[in-house]
Amino acid sequence: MIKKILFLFFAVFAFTAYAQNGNITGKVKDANDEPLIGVSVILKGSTTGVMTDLYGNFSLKGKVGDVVQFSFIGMVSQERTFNGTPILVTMKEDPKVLDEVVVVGYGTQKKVNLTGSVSTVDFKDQALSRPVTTVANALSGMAAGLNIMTTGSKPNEESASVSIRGIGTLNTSSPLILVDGMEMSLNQINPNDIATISILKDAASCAIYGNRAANGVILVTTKRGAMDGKISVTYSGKFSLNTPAKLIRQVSNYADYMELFNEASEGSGTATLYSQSNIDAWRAAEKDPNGISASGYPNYVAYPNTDWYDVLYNPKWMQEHSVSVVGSEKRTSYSFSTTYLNNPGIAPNSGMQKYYMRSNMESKISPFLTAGIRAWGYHTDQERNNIDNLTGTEMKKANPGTYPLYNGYYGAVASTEEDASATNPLYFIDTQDGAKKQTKFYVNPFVKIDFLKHFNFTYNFYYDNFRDEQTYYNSDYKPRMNFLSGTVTNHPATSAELAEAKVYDWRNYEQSWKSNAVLNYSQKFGGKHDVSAMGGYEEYRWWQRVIDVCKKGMVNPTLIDFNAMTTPSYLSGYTRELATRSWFGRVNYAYDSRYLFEANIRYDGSSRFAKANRWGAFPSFSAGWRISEEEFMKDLNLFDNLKLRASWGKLGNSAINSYYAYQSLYAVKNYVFGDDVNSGFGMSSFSNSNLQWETTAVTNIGLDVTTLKNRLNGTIEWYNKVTNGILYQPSLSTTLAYFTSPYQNIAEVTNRGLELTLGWQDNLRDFHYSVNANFSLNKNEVTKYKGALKRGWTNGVYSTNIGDVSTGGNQRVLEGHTINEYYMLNLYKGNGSYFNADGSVNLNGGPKDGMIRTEKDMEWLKAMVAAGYSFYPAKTIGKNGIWYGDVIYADSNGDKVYGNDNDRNFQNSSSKPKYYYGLQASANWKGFDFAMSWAGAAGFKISWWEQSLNSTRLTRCYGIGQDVANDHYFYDPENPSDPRTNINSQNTRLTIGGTAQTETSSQLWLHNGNYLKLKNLTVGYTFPSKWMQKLYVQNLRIYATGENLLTITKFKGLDPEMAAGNGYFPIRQYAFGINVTF
Amino acid sequence: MKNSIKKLYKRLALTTGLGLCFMGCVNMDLTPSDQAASGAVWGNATMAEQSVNGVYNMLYYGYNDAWLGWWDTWSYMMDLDANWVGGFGSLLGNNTSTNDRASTRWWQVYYAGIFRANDVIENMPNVPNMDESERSRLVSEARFLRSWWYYRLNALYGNIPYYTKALTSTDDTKNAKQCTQDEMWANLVTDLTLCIEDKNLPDKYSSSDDNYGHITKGAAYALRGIVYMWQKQWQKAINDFQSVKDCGYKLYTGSGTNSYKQLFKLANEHCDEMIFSIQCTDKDNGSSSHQKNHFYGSRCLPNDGSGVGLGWTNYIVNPRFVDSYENADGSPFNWDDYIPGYSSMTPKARAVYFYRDGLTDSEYANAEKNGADMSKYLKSGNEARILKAYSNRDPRLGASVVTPYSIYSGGISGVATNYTYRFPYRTLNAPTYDYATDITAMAYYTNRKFVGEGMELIVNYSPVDLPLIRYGQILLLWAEALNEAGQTDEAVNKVNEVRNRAGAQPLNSNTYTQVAGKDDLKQRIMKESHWELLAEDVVFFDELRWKTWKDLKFATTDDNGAVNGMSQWWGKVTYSYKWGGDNYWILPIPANAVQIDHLTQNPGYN
Repeated sequence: MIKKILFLFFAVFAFTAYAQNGNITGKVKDANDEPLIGVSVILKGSTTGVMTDLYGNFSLKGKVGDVVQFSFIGMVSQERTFNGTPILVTMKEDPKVLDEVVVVGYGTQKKVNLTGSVSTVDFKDQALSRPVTTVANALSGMAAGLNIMTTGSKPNEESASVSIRGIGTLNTSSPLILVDGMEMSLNQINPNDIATISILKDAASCAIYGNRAANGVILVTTKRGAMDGKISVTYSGKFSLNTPAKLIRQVSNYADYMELFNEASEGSGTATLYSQSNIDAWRAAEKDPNGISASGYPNYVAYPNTDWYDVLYNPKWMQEHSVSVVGSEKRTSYSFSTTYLNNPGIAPNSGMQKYYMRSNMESKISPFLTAGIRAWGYHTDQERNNIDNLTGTEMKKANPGTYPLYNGYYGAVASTEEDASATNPLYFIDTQDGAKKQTKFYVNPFVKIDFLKHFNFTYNFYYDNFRDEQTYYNSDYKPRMNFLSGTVTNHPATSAELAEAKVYDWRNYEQSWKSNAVLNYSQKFGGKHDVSAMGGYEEYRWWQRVIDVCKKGMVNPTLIDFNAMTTPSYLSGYTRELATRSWFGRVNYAYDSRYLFEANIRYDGSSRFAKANRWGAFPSFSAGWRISEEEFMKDLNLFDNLKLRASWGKLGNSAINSYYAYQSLYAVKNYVFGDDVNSGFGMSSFSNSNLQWETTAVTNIGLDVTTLKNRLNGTIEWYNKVTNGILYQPSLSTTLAYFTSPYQNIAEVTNRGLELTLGWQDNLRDFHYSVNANFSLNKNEVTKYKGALKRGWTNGVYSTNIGDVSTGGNQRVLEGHTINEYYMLNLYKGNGSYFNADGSVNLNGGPKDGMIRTEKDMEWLKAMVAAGYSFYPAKTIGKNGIWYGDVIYADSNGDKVYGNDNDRNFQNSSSKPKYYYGLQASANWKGFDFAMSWAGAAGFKISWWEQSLNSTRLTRCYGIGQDVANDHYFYDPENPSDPRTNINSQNTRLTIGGTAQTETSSQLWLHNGNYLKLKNLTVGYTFPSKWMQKLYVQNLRIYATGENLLTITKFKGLDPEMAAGNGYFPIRQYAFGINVTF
Repeated sequence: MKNSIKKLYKRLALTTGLGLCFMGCVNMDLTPSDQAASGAVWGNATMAEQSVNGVYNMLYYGYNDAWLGWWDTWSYMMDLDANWVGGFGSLLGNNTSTNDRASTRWWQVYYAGIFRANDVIENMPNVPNMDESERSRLVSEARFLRSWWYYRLNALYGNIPYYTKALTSTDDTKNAKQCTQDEMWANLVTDLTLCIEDKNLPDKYSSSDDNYGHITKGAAYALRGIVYMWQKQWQKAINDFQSVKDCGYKLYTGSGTNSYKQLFKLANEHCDEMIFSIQCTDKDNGSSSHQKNHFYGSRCLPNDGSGVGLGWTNYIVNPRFVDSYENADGSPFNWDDYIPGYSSMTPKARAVYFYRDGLTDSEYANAEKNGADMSKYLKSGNEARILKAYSNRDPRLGASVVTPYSIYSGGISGVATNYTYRFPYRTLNAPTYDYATDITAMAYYTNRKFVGEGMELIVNYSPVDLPLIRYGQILLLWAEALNEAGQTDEAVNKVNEVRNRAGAQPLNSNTYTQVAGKDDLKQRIMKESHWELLAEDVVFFDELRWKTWKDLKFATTDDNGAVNGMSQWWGKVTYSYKWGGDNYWILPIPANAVQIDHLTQNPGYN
C-alpha cells in the first residue's frame, strides 16, 4: 500500500519533465523480477527524464556515453552509462532508507523527515481480520498518546471516547477527524475501506489545521487504485457471534426480592409491602414449577422469577461481506468496493443492516494534469426501538415478578401487591415500531497540476450529504396478561384512544462542502539543500436542518402514513449553520537529510465568533536532527536511525456545542391567551461577544531510535501542552441557573506527558514475529483559573471562596487540580477508641471505616449527637435516619457538622485515566499467522451509585443488584441473633426511599476503574500460492478471531471503559472469516 | 513546449477561477433562525410584545414537566410518596441548602421569571413604534408577574435579593442586598400599586376575549390584598378585596349544587371566579399545560400507552386532613360517632373497618397478620359500615377526594367505567372493577380535583386552566381580614358565600355552625380554606402566614410515635416527617447562590 501511495506521490511531485521520443531504452525490474512502474529515469546533468511505464519500460533521447539515473523512493538509486544496448536495471530495496511515508496535513512526508509527532496505524491488516463494528474499537491501544475507550456497542450507534494526549479542554476534547480530507466521525467510514490512519499529536503536525486541531488530528485515508496494471478482486467474509461481554445480575427470585424489600422497609421503619402469604405462594410455586396454577398457567409462568437481562440479551450472529476491486488501465487507476453488514445486535429490535459503496478513481489526463474523484457512501436500515430506555427506568423498573412472554401474551405484573408501574421491558421494546434510515454520500473531485518544474497546484472540492430519517409509532395491539389471575390487562385501542395515537417523523439533514486550493513548491539546491513550501486557502460551510413532525388520529393502527391520519399534532424544526475560512502555509528546509526544519502557519476565521474576534493565527516551528546521518555516528554503525526532534506551536479550538455562542438568544416560549397558543420569546441564554479562540501551545521533544539491524525500534516523546482561554460554560449561581450559561474563555490547563513506544521484530528462519508496546502518561492540571481555594475560620465564622474560584458540581475546575476532579464528601475515619479517659466522647474515636457497625459505634454516635455534633444529611439517629449499617462523613472544616456542603473535598482523581497502555504481538510461520492486541488504562475513578444495581437504597418495583443482595450489612439490635446478621459487609444496609444517608455523593461512590483488556486475538492460515494458482486464486486466507475476550478489572459495574454500571451491553465477539483475492 | 505551457496556464486560470467562485463568498455572519437575538427583540414592537408572552411562559415551569414540587404536598393536606419523589429533604428532616425540590429549584425558576419580567420592564419603554397604552399595559403585566414570583420567594425564603434590572452579565446577581421579609412586602405593595394605578390595565377580561389570560387589575388588587394580609394591614386588605369584587369577579354558581365540582372542569376555566390562572391547552402536546391529571390520578385513568393507567399516585391526600371535613350539618366529624371506640384503637387495629366484604382466607390471614383487629370484621356489612362515615360529609370531600368504597369513573378499559375503591385490591378488570393506585398493597386517599373522569382526559397533560388566585379564595381571605378588623358578621357572610356555593351548612345556621367569637371564626376560616382549596397549591402559604404549618404538618399521629406523613386510610404512617427546628419556617438559600452570589445564609442552616 505504501508503495502505491509513494507512486502517486512520486508521480505528482518528483517527476516534472515530459516524455520525448529517444533512443535510450530499457526496462526496470525489482528484485522479484517484477516490472517496476514509475521509476524516475533522468539523463544526468539535464532536466530531461521519463518514468517507466506499466511494463517497466522506458525510452528517452540520448546518446551513447550518457549517464542515466534511476531513482525510486525506497530503492537504492542507480546510475548506468548507455552503451547502445537497452539498459536492464534491477532496483533493490534500500535497507538504509526507512521508506515509510506518512500522511500528514495536506500531503505526505517520509517518516524519516518528520519533525512533528505523528503515529501511524496501518489499518489494512486490522480490517482484514477484525470483525470490529467501529473503527475506534480497532484503534484502541494501538498508538501511544491515542486514548480510546469504547463507550457504547449498540449497532449503528457505537460510541467511543477518543482523545489525544489527555483532556486539554473543558468542552469537546475529541480530535479533529478527517476522512479523505473531510471532517466526520470515525463511525461514518467503512473499516474495510481504510488504508492508513495517521495520528497527529503535536502542534508541529497539527498547526496546518489550525482551528479545531487543538485536540490533535486523525487523518484517515481510504484505499486507492494501484498503477501496477493488474486487476485484483478480493472477497472478504466475516461471521461473528456477538455475545454480551458481561451480564448484569439482579435478584431474579421474586420471593427473595420480596423478602429483601421487606427487610429494607423494616430497616427504614416504614410499612412492609409484601405479605408473607404472597412470599409463601411464590416459594411453593418454585418447588413445583411445572404444576398448573389456579389460572391454568404453569407455576413458572403464573409465579414468575424473571431474569430480565437473560431474557433481553442473547448472542446473535453478525455477518459482513465485502468485495473490492483494485486495478488500473493505462493512465487510470481505480478502486471500488461494496460491503454488506448485518449486525442483529444482542438485544431485541436493536439490529441494523448497512450497505457501503465506494469508488476512487484517478486519471493522468496529461503529463502535468491529474484529475480524479473519490466517492463513497452508505445506507443504514436500523431497527427503530427505544432500546436506550433499557439504560433508564424501563429496565430499572423491571423486577422478577413479571413473566416476559408466554403463548403470545406478554406478562403483566403478577402480584396484586406489586407496584403497578413495574415494567415488562420485552413488551416495551416489542411495542415500539418504526424505521430509522441513514444515508450518506460523499464526493471529492480533485485536480493536480504540475507546472514550472518545481510547482504543483491541487484543488479539492468536498461535498458531504447526510440524512437521518426516523419514523416512530406504537405497534399494533399486543395483549398483556396477568398469568396469575388469568386476566388480559389491556385492550385493543378504542377509537377515542386511536384519536390520540401518534406517528412521529423526525428528519435530520446535514450538508457541508469544503473547497481548498493548495500550491506546492519543492526544489533541491546544490545537492544538499532541500526546500519546499506549500500555501493554501480553504472554505468550509455546514448546514443542519432538523424537521420534527407528528400527526395523530389513527384510523387503524396499521395505517401509519400521514395521509391516513386526522390531526396534525406538532410541526417543529430548526437549522444550524457554520462557516469557516482559512489561509495556511508550510515551509520545509532540510540540509543533507541531517538537519530538518519546518514551519507552519494557519490563519482561521469562524462564524462561531463575533466579527472582532473572529480570526486567529496559529503558527508552529519544528526541527529535527538525524544524528545517525552524522559521520561520527555512521562510524559507530550502531544506529539504523537516530533522530532527535523538537517542536513548538499554537493551535486553536472552537469546537463548542453552540453555533451562536456570542449572541444572546431569545428562545421561543409560548403562552396561551383566549384558548389559543400565542407565540412568544423569552431570554434563554447569556451573550458573550468577547468570545474568542481557545488556544493550545504544545512543546514536543522526541527521540526516534532504530537499532540492532532494524530489529528494535523505539520512540520516546515528552510534551507540554498548555491550553489557554478555554471555552467553557461556568456553572451559574442557582439564581441564574435557569439560563444557559455563556461560553467564556476561562482557565488554563496544562497537560504534561510522556509517551513510549517500543517494537521488536525478528525472523528465526521462516518464523517471523514482532512485539510492539506503547505506554503513555499524562498529567493534567488546571494551571490558571480564578485563584486558589481559600477556606477557613476567621473570628469564628467559616468562609469559603469556592463559588468564586471554582466551577462545577461533583466534578470541579479549580486551579492546581486536575480538570473535573471529583469533589465529594470524605468518609469519616476514626481510630475506634470512642471515648477519652475522662469519659467524654472522642471526636476521632469513631468507627475506623466510617460505617456504624457495632453497638459501640452507635454509642459513640449518640454521644457525639448529645455533645452537639450533627451528622448530615440524615441528621437524626434511628431507622429512618442514621442507623446500624450507615456511613457517616468527615467534618473537614471542623464546624461540628459532619457531612454538609462545606465538608466536600477534592479527591485527587478524576474520571480520566492518567495512564494508557497497549501491546500488540504477531507471528507468522509457513502461512500460519497469529496476532493479539491488548489495551488498558489506569489512574482514574468511576463515580457509580446506581439504583437497581449497586445502590443499597431500594426503590419500590425497581430491581435489586445481586451483589448487594448477597452481601450487605444487617444488624437488628432488638434481635442480634437474626440469621441475616452481617456486620462486616462493605455494602451499607438496605433502605428504601426517604433515608438519605447514603444518597449524597461521597467517596463511597468512587470506584477504581483500572483495566486491561484483551481486545483481539487472531489465528489465520494462508494457503500456499502454488496450490491456489491452479484455482486462479492469488491469495486465500482463513482465520478465527475474537474481540474483547478478556477484561481484568476490579470495577464491578458493567464495563470500566463505559465507566457505567448499565447501558447497552458491551459485546464480545467470536468470529471466523475468509479473504480471497482473484 | 511553449504551447503546452500556454495551455497549462489557461487550464490553471480556469481551475483557479472555478475555485475562486467557491471562495470569498462564504458568509461568516450567521444567526439562528429558530431563536431571536436580543437586539432584534427590543427593536421590533411585535417581538417585544411576544417577549411578554415569554414571561408568562415561566408560569408553566414545575407544572408541565416531571419536576414537581407542588405546594400542597408541603401543606398538611397532602403527602408525597418518598419512594418516587426524592429531593424533599426538608419534610424528612434533612433540609440542607442543596436540596433539590426543597430549596434550589423554585429559587431558580422564580428568579428566572423575575429576570424575564425585568427585561420587559426595562426595555419595553424604549421599543419604537409602539402604542403607548399597550406599552404601559404590558409593563404592568410583567410587573405583576414579577410581584407574584417575589411574593412566593419572600414567603418561602425570607431574606431575598430584590433584583429589578434586566440582566446583562452573569455578575449582575452578585453582592446584592438581601431584603427582610417586611422590606420585601413594602416593595411589592409599591410595585402592585403601580399596576393598579395603570389605567391601561383592564379590570377584567370577558371569557371570550382573545386577550383572556392577560393580567387584570382585579388580579393586581387580589395580590396586593394578599400582601397586605402578610403585613396584617387588615383594612387595606379589605379595601383591595372589595376592589376585586368591583372589578367584576364573583363565585361560579352556574351548575347549581354541582358548582364546586364543575368549577374545575374545562367548560368553566374562564368563569368569573378565575382571577389569575395558568392558561392551559392541549393544542401543543402538553408544553402549555399542567400535569396534575397525571400525577394526582390513578391507574384507572386511560391507558398511558404501555397498558396501564396514566395516573401516578405520587401525591396523595392525608387522612388527618380528610378526617377534618365536617359532617353535612356542620358538626365536627368524629370517627367514634360512626364506629364507637375507633379513635381509641391503634391505627393498625382499626384497619379492620376498611376491608372489603367477603375476604378470602388469605386476605383475611394477611389482615390479621398486619395487626387488624379482625374480631370487628363483618363478612357482609363491613363496606356498608365504613361508607356511612363518608356519605354524610361536607360535599367538598366527595368532590375532592376518592374515599373508600366510593365510585370513580375511569377510562383504562377504553370506555368510561366505574371503579370502586376497595381494599384489599383484587383486579381492575371484571368481575370486581376495583380502583387501582400505583401501590395497591396499601390504601391511600387520592385526588379527584383536576383529575379527568371517564375518557375526559386521555393524555398525561391537562388543558384545564390551573387557578392561582380565584374569587373563592379571595372571599376567605376577605373574611379573615374582616374578622381581624372586628367585623365578624361581615366575615361570616363572606364565608357563607363559599359554603353556600359548596352546599355546606352555612355558618350561624344551627348550633354546630354557631360562630363563638373572633378566635372561633378564625379557626373556622382556616379550616374552610383547606377544605375549599385542596390541591390548588395555595393554602401552604397561608399555613406559613398563620404559623400553623408546624403543628399541622408535623403532628404526631402514629401508634409508634411516628410523625404525620404519607398514611393509609386508618392512619398508619408509611413515611413520616421530621421537624428540623425553628429555622424551618423559612427555607435555606441555595448553597450555590450563597457561594457565587455571596448571599448570607438564613439562620440555622449549615
